[in-house]
Amino acid sequence: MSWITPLGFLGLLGIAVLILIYLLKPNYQQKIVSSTYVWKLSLKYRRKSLPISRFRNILLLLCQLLIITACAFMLAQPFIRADVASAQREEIFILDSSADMHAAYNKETRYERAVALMRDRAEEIFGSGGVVSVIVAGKEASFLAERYGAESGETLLGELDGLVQDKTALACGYGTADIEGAVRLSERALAANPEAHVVLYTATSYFDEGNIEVVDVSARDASGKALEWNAAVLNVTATVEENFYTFAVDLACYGRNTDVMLFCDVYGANGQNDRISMRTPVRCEGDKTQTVYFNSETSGEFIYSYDYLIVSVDESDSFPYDDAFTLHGGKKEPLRIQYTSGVPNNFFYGQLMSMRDVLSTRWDIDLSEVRSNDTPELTGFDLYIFEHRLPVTMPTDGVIFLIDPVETEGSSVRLSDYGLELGDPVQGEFHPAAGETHPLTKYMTPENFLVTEYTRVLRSDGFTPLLYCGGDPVFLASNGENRMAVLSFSVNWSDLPVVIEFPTLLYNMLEYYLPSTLTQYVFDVDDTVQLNARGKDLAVSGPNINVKPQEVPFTLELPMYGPYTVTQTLRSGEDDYTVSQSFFVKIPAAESDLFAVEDMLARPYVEQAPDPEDYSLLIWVALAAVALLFLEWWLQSREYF
Amino acid sequence: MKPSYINDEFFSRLETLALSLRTNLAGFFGGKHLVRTYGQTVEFADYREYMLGDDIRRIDWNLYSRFEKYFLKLFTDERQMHVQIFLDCSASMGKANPAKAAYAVAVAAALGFLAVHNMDKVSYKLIKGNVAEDPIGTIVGKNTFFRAIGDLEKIEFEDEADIAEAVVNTPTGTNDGLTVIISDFLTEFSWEKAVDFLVYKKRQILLVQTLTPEELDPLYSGRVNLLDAEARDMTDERNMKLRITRGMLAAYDEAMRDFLDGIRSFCASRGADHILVDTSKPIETMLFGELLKAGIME
Repeated sequence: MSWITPLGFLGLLGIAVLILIYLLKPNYQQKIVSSTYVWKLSLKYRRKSLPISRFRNILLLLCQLLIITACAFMLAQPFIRADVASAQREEIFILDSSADMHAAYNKETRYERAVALMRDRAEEIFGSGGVVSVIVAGKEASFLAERYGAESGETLLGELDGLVQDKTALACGYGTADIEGAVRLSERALAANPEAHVVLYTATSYFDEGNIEVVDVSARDASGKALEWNAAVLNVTATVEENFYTFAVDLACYGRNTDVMLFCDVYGANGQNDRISMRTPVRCEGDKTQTVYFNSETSGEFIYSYDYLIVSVDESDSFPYDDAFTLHGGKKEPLRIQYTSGVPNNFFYGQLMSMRDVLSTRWDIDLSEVRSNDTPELTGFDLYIFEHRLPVTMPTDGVIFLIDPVETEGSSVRLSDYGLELGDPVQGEFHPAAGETHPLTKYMTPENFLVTEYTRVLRSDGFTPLLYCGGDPVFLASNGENRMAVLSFSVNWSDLPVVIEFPTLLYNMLEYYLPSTLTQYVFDVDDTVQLNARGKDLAVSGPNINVKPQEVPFTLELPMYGPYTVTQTLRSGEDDYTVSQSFFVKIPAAESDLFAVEDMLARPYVEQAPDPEDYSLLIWVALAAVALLFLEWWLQSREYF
Repeated sequence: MKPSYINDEFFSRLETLALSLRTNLAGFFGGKHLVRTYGQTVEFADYREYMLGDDIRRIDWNLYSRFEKYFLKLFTDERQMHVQIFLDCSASMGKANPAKAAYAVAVAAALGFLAVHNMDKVSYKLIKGNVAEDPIGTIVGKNTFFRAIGDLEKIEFEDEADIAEAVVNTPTGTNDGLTVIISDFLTEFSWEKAVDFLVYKKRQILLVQTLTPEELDPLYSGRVNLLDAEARDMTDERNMKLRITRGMLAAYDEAMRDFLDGIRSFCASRGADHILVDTSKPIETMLFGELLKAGIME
């Protein structure tokens, strides 16, 4: 007997509810009477009841249990499968293509071992006229072959051979495997033949394998002892403690208790081109992860900056891909800001200095202030801020932020050349209102500050108005040919510098106009990274990859472990120059554990769709339920007889 | 709040009624009950021949002129009776159903009022345990009655009552009036001894049995734990666990019928009156129906 919706058996929970009701229901209702004298007398007059009365309650309960069971059966929709010949053997192979399948013993990887086993079994099945499906569980699960019969056997065997043809470039991935996705995918083949058998080729153990056959492809000796082992650098982090770096290394050995030598080579330390090498022996036991620190105390090296470092173990283990770990990000991205003011404003410059300190972990900000009579630089900065004055000529290599722009003697800059035309000052008390939603006004509440005088903007071609006072735009931005923002009121005529909106605005300008190319320097295989660009000609190179994105932000998938480099061209005055940054993609830490044990393997759900030939039992179960209902009603009606 | 029937309207309706007592009672001097003995009233009863020693002032000289014999005119006598009202104050009378207790008190008050209205003496005996308490004393006259009647409404119905022990141990006059016992008689104590004792004392006897509709025709069904109002605790053997079916209810009806028939036949054999009162019916039905039918009232 089969069921279309086995979940219908959840209806059997009703039995528990029924028993609960029987337990909670008071057996006797309490009734106070004047006297039981006559009741006692009446016992003598009572006629003997039929024997069925004694068993009525048991029969009632039995009836109710059977009714609930019948209802659950009806929900499950039972049917008897037609007797069609389905003697042919069918199996669905799931091949674990996670990184740990690269673990090798005697120059044979788990992946190759699994493919060989699958090949032998497939040949056997094809020999008996059976059907084979193969699902490769990599980052995403996909069919390599779906329900191939004996006539397609050679094709399938060829495809299996293709997986391991190039021993230096196996088709196996370097990330985690979507086993659950593969199990879900197997349901497609199971829908066609619910009797098909699912086999998983993996080295991961499961406490509960369910109805899937798990074939262990790890290398073991005759006694079952594991022959593979792995020493792994799982993660490296750098933190600044008292101005000097401390490097924390997570290290583990799986499958063997041993002493390993841990190396840490720091390149470009403290602005020098030399390499600083440190090493320490570590005792690894019990597959436990331990953290090893390299700092001035343990190694005597005082490192306050670095280009990158490589942490490695020099062991001949079964899985070499996690033996070395590269950490970039020792040098922050430089950012040069020039603040020029016609009316020196310590408040403004103080805010910039605070921001430099707060963002020091992300940018190396170089601040430069130009007082009223000094001549500002017009090249070599990422951000130019001009307050109450205009430069002689407008810089061409950075972002320009004009605050209360006024005609300045000796300046050839005409705002009309940039699409702007300013009018007369307007006085009053204005709480600005927000324009369209824009990254520059993110997290800002303009109503929080007051403006008492602003200059009316008569024309703003190519600019997006972001804040308004009295219906006039007072903050405008452009990110096209001109990367320029304009604030048409003086911060001296506003309380903006003393509210949170001011540092928020400055931070938003850096985020919007000068985004960090990278926000982190370590990724796992199969992660995605979003790349921004401050300049042009962005290019990414890495293991088996060379990409030149046309648009930013650019999302890049990382299928391979190893170092990646991002280059872009920045402009300083009339000259272009190229900067590069690197990040490292590592094997996921979970994959380093070659002997991982999971709790439960996902179970494939097989929909028992009946064929037209199948015989439905629904009507019979329904009839039984109706009969039981009548019996129960009759027993209930006899309750007081 | 306790239900109550006793109020001015209730008593005003009783003004037109009177207790009808047997004429062979002796009673006390005074009162308004005509008895068989001859007395000094103005109501003529009979003649008899003059005997030596008779008061010659009572000789009927008209008859002498006709028969030349001396005949005396005899007049009826009126006596005062003593009405004893025993009220069962056990828990079965009021704990489970306060209306039943109020009904019993109203019956007692009505009978008491009728007695004092006819210039009889009344005493209320409250049966508690095996004694009959007399908290009010003997009542003569309406003023005393109305002062005392308030106490009747404060009676607590609790514990159990042994009617026979209480009645037998109560000082009771001989052949001097009516004894009323108001109870549901749902007791395992033998109340019949009380009736026998009162018969021995030559008193007129009236048993008023008050039962609720629930007692006469219970409507329970299913599994019921019947807790006796007089039970001391849950483990008292008077409590019963029953699965009440239609058959069980039929057996109850039969048992109740036999129980009432037993009381009636016993009363009939002792010359006592018995009336059954259903507390769901208006009290007027009892006073103007059952008591009149039984001949206690006129």
